[in-house]
Amino acid sequence: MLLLKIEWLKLKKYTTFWVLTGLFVSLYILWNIGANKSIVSMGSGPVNLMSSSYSFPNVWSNMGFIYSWFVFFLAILMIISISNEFSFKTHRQNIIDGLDRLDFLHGKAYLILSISLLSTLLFALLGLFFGLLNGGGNPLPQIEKVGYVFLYTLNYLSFAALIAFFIRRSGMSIVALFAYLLFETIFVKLINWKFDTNYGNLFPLQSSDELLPLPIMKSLSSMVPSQTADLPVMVYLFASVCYIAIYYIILRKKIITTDL
Amino acid sequence: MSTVLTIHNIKKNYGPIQALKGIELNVPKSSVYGILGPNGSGKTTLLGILLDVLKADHGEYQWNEFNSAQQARQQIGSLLETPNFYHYMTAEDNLKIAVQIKQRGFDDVDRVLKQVNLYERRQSKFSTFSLGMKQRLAIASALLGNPSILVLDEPTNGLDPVGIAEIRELIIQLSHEGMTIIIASHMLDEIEKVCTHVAILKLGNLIIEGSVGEVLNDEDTIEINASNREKLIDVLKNFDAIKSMKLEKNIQLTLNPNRNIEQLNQYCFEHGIILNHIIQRKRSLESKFMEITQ
Repeated sequence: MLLLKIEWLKLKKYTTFWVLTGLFVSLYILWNIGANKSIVSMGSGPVNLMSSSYSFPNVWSNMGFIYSWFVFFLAILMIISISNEFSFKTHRQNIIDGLDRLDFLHGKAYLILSISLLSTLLFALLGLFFGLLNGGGNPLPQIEKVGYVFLYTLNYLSFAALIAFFIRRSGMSIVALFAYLLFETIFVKLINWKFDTNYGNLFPLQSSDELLPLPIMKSLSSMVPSQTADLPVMVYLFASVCYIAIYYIILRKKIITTDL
Repeated sequence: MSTVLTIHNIKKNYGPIQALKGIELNVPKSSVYGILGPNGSGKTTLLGILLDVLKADHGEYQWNEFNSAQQARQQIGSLLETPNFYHYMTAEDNLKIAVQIKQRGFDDVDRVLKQVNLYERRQSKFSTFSLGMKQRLAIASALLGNPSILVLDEPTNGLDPVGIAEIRELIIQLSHEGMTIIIASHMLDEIEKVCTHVAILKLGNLIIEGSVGEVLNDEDTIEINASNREKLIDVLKNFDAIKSMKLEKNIQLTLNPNRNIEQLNQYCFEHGIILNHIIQRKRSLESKFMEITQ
């Protein structure tokens, strides 16, 4: 746990870390409170796609979808924590002081794991809270969304780390992440439409997006007869895990072989 | 004398540019080993390879007192190029990270901060430091854990004359305590004042290596004169120990290898010349360096 302790020493005095973490936690909580009370709405009049359900079991998918937007704060946090090392050249200093090159990468990997675990914990506690607040019942159906949220965060943060390790500058990395997201969204839609398939959903970030869809959209699309069957969720789980492994393998090769 | 570092045939290219062309070095224990060379000669590249931030294309190195390169880096103190610290953190917090990586105790932080006169500013953020203070903090970081080997790349960069003198004193003091110090610099008088050994690099080649005495000694110039100058010159012309002779206000000589000033003096005396002026001048590293690298 030494590597994680070192990462913690680097972050705990960093104002931007606390600002981004604070924004993520507070905005996510506030948004859900707002949606639960129908202050935040999507739709018109009494129809609110956001607040469709904050009771079990739908609270998990509902909050999971909203979670997928807020994870960007964490992705930016991850980018900055890596690009800082390059702009201060502390990545070199860490190695010079005796850190193994792979340990430097693993420190960041543990940070990603820890942030993913903690934000998933926040998601789980909030889900339980809102579920119990709105009539209680059995929280177990759809509880697998908690695991999906973890995998989703892991995929997004690892992808952000991949970009930051290659681009090295925080501003450029954040721009690149958003540009890629835009590109991927368009490309996925284009492929699915052009080839009348769902395989476009297997792009790196989309594969995890499919784990946390907007619940109402899923039910709407199931009413529309479609030629293409949605891919089983296992495929998306498998794809997400594969992508995370691929990012790791690429970064491992890079950190071992290149000049720092 | 045992060697703490062995470097064997290290080569490094940056694209088409050969930065190091097969460097061979042995650094003796407890030496102050100066690596000299003009800008772009490969000094920092060589140290970068030894500290694993750069990868050599060929060759190998061995820190002989340690089991692995990582263990060596943890145990030796290093300063490479610019001081690299987290700008938003205080001097003390920055050193705490280095201490964690080196797996040493936190109590060492205060000691090294006092050693470089930064203890009073330990709670100041790194971003508020002057260049000289940043450099001193980097030296403090290198001193964490009382290393037996110190690797310093241009350690007096950015320091004022007082700071330079302080660092020089510190290096001399540490070397007296038995520490091996490897120091790269293009400031020759700095090296000359502290080093026991030198290696001179030029365009990625090792030009010369050895103790300061070996590199410079046989090149000492001897200045002599006598009241009968003409006779002295005639006598010297027939002396086989003379390598070169320059006639200036005094007569400047260099001697062939294995001949010394005592033999010269005796020869003159036996030929009826009493010298009234005799000075042995150590050749300066600067003149040697200029001759080699031009």
